[in-house]
Amino acid sequence: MTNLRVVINEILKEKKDVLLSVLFGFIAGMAAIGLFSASGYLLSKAAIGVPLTALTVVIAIVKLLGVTRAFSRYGERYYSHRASFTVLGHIRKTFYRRLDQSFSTLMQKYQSGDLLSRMVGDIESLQTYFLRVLYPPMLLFFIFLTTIFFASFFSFWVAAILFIGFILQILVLPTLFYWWLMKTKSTVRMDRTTLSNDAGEYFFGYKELKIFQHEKTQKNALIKASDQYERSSFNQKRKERLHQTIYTWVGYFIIWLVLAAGAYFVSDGDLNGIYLAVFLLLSITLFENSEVLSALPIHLANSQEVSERLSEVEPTGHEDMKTTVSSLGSLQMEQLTFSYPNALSPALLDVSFILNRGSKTAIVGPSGSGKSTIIDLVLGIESTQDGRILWNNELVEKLEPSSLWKHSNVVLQESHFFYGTVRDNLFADSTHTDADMLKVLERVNLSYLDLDSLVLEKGSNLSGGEKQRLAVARTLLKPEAELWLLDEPTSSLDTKNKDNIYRQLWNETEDKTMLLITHELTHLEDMDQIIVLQEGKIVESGTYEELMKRQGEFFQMKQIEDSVLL
Amino acid sequence: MNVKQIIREQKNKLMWILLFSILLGAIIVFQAYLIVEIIHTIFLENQPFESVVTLLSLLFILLLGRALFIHFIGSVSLKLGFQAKKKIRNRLLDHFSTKSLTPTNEDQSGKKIGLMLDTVDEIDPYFSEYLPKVIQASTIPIILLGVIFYFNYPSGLIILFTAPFIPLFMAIIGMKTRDKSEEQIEQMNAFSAQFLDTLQGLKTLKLFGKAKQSESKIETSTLGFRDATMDVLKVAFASAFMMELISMLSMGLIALEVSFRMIVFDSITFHTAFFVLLLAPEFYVLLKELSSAFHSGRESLTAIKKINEEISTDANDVSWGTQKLQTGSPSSIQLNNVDMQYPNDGFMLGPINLHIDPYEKIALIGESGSGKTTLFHLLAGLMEPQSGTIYLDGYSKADVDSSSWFRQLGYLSQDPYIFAGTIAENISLGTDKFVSDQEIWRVLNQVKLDTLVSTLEHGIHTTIGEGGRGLSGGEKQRLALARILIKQPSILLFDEPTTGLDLKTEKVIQNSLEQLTEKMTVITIAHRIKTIQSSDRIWIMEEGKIVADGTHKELEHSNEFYQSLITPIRKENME
Repeated sequence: MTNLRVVINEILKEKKDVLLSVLFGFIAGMAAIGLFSASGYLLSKAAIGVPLTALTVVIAIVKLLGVTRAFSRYGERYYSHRASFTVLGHIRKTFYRRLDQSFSTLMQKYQSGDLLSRMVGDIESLQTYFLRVLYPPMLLFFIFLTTIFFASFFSFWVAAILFIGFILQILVLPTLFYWWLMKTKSTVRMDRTTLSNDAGEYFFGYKELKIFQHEKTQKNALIKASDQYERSSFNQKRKERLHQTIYTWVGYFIIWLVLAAGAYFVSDGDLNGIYLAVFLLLSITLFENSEVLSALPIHLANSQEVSERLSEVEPTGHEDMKTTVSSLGSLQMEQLTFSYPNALSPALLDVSFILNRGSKTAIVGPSGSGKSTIIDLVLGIESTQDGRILWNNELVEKLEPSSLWKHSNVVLQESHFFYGTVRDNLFADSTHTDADMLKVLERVNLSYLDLDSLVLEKGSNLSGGEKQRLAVARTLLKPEAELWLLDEPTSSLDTKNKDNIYRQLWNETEDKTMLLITHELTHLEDMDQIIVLQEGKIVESGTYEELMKRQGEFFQMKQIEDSVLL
Repeated sequence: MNVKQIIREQKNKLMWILLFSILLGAIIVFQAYLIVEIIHTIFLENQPFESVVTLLSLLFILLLGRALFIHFIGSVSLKLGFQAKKKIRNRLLDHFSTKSLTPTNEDQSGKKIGLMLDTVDEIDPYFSEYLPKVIQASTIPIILLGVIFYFNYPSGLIILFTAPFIPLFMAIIGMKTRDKSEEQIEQMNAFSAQFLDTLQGLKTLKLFGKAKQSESKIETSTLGFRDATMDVLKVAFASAFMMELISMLSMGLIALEVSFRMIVFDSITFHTAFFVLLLAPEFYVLLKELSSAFHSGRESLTAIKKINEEISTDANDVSWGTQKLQTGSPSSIQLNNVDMQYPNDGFMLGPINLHIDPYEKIALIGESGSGKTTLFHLLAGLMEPQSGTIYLDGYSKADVDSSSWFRQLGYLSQDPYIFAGTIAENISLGTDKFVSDQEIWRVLNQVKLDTLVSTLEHGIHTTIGEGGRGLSGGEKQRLALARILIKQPSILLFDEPTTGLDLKTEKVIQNSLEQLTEKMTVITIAHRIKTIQSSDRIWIMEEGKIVADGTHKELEHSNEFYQSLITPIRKENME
């Protein structure tokens, strides 16, 4: 329940719309009850033969109530939905902010598709929380009480029966069903996950399954999972159906009781016979209104599940006071060991090295050997596990990450490009003129791009090489950066472009600190140190010449690289 | 797959729903009659309570019956949806399993999963809500209308005149909603795209200090999404408003009409008047329910259309026969005029003619996109050629027993798939024979994974994640190699890694293959000069065709492409 507190708080922010929807809903409900009661009254009066003129008032009321009902229903629907969707907007914003605060840990734990489905689908399904869980009982409470209040003027017993019905439908039945739902915890979601996983294994591993002749077995398992999911969701719906039936029948029973009691009191002379038809029609309409409550427990259970899933995504990293750095001096790694969750082997194992101010270092090694992790650790995006990273002799954890980023220029292995223009994607700030931007595009051989050319999501209309060059162009717009962290900046480029990009980078970084991460062994001749990483460990380090002379790992890697064609 | 066909198969259930609906209609009529009779007896005839006790008991039973019949209809409808979904899902899976590999096949797995899960789920309302409601709406209101006409035709006329307005308004508004809801879906997609775009680039944004701007962008687009949703809903509410207005006014009209006829013309009794007044709302309630079921039914139809589109695409299963292949040595392979074209894609492979003798070592080279992988899929029997014949040991592939072929075959790709399961399970996937723990350890030792695995708490029984998450590229490669070592195929298709592998994996693969290949036919998509030079034959592929076939010596002098390929390397090595 505590998770839903957040939702309730957001709903309370939309007080005006909530009040308006209750008001309109109340009018609509009462109008319908009034309409049918008045019709019953009209008919009963007509039966005992009163003059027509006496009835015109009732007739007018009947008409008026019909129109009122239709209009106020519209208002109720409009305001309740508006409130609901505004609230969803608020929740989305809050959720996004939470993601933003803890993005590094989140991206590790969740795939972006998962987060997307939470952000869009899950939050969307929370709309039922207000529309079907919170709002209807509130509304029915007023409608029932008002009706019972009026009924009590005519017959205490009829009012009492209505009250019992009210308690049963608004309190007892939903509670009982909710309790039953919780007790017989449904496996629907679990079965669906199993099915989805099995389907994934089947489709992604299709080739292997075929060749190793396991395709049939896996397919049968998939059919079984599908049937299991179908069966459990069928059972769940059957439960809902049963509850709905019981609910409806209780309504019928109360209507029947009203009729029986009414008939008894009329024949006894305690109640005017005219009101018998009125009470009957009134209770029929009343219990038609309350039908919406039958689905409340299901919606409540769903909302709870969803809000639990949402609050799973919790902001990590507490806000300590952190030091802002004004300049980046030397950088020291001391015995870093780092493992990703559920990885078999550590990404980094006892890695130590020093980046002196103004030095150039390359880390080489096969893909997946933990090289990129170093960048995340250095920038404070990822927290260290074992070992220390010292910036100007201060622990990286003590430093404000955004101040580190401000002084760094980073080309990520997968640089991201957003839907927008080339200009947007260069991340220029107000000090940059169009001429500056065109200049950097020219330097990376992208002068054929227009600043206003459209870049699609993820830069899908750019080739891999264009994306890499554009990512380098971003950094060239920020030449004042003191630390350059380049993660495979040229892996998709042809030789000519590679040479050019390295030349441009060399020009900018002459007196800057640079860390280059690469699995290609070219352009390393001028590095101050080359660190060879294998399976997370440093196996060799030195200058290019030293390493070639030693004929160790680096030398062998270079030989393999030379023998690769195409 | 046809909706009609499924409906035909489920005819029994629909007949039950029809029967229950007719009974329900009858109950509604009798229930109203009893209520009127009770009120009439007490109110107008001033009879004592005892005289209605029988009627009240009857009414009690009828109400119980009404609830029960509604329950039956609901249960049968659920069952209908359950069976239909089950059938469709299995049908879809059958389709996917017989559809041979296509180039886009592998990237589309996500789409297929979506189709299997979400789209099939969306079908449910058509069967469990829409169809039953149509049956109910086409029986009960007609029964009610007939009864009303019989007892008081003017009320019947009022209903007959006003009722058609409901579907009319629904149609008019429905047309408008379509545009609006398309717009809403667009907004929703735009919002999703924006969010995903921001999420995936969050790191980049943060590093360049641009995170704040995107937060405000997200906010704008969530508000845009809300407004688009409200626009759609406003139209839906307007339709509800019209229906409400029509039904409320008609019922008011009927109330007036019957009371007028009672007082002014004295032409009907209270009995008839009240009876009509009780039946009229039941009529409108059903119409309203139908219109909401209609909405969800239409969404389901879209889902059905999507599935039909998928199923109607060609599922040309790879054809196999019953002829067993010999087990002693690798089969010879021959391709006669084989070609292959992908639908919706300009790519053409073939015609290809080739012959591979047992124990031959062949290197396949060519630029990316020249069709090497497609040729591999054809050779492996994972894909059916559009035309031409593949001969295995001289038998046409269509006559050969598939399992006797796959038993011979090994395929080591650049990105092998690792299944969710233990390390041991993944390795013993290679064979149906029992594999002892010692054997697993033996091959792990061969691929140099034993030290790593022995440090794990559960050893070879450690679960490794879906798709091999948590394994490095080299570890995956070595695990896949371990599978091959267990399987001991006699024909190996090997997609040689380009770069990015660690030295250890590089060496492990080389050593293992050197030992194995003596007993195997090996076809390699080769990237290493050494692999190419040491093979018996080299095939060069260009734009879907094999343009050259010869030994290193032959090609070195005769083939320009081959020369251009190996010269720069040579030069560098000489320096």
